[in-house]
Amino acid sequence: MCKVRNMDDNLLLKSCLQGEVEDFRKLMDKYRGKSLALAWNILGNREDAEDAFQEAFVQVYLNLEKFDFTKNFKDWLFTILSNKCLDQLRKRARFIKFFKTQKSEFLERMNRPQLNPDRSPVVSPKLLQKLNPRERISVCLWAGEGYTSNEIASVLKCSPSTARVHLFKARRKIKMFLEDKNASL
Amino acid sequence: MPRCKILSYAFAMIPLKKWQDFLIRHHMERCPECQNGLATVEDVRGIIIPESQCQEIATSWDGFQAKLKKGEREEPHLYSSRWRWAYAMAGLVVLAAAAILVIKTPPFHKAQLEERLIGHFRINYIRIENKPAQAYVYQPQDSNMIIVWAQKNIRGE
Repeated sequence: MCKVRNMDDNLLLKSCLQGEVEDFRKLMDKYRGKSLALAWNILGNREDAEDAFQEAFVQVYLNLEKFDFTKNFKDWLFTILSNKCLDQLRKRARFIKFFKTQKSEFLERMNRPQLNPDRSPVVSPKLLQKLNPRERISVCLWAGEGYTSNEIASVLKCSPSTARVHLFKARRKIKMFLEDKNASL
Repeated sequence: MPRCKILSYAFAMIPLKKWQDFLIRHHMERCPECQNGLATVEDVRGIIIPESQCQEIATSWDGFQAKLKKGEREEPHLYSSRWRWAYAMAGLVVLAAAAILVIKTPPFHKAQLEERLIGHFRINYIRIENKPAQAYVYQPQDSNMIIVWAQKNIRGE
């Protein structure tokens, strides 16, 4: 695994372009942990995270020719992954809105505790759901990957100033939540 | 701190997002109290899913390949956003063409209608006291009025 980690992304990508599917698998393995963690933190559950992860890599594979080799592959991947996650959240919001108006019964069923909770653990639901998706992405990239506001901006396709504001808001909300939690203990 | 809260409410009321962001950033970067109110990297790392937890998740390569095949096969759906835009643009083009056609077509004037009617005005036969008579049709210039003059045939004419 370590050997794979040290391999140059560009070499792997060029090899993929020549039709080496196995090298694409190596690339997927290399970024599996980081990508899944990011998607899981944004979406809040593992199944959706895996879905977003696979869809992001499908898009990467289908658009390999468009990749600019002078840029960082990880940033490109995270941009695609973040967009997939935002798409999923939008779909989920539409789905919930539809069923709220149409079938309250269905929602009740959805809210019932799951039979196998281990299969789909929901991550810090109260806390992460207080952040909007862009704030979630910003704070995960900042704390998880050590990204600067400029790098976050390149992933979110916004200005560094806006990325900094997302980060400020997210950090403020988290701090307030943690203080409230400590006060209640 | 209450001052910061009032400011954050005031910032939230600014409708222009860019200005709002600029003011928030400007304040947060300079206000020591607000800086203290931000979670640290360690705080955040304590609540997010770490990479190590996901490293061992075996995502299905078959699942990826199935999605890939679907993605390669998938033709643009008739109701996908790209097609929706195409439909909307086609609709706009049709509307614009219809509008141009309506504007460019000269209006069907009342005068033209009357002209047509006048063109069709015809006297076939006139009799006065059971004898054939002569008819004269006269329209004064710039007038809609038509004068029909009928007179007995004068012997010898």
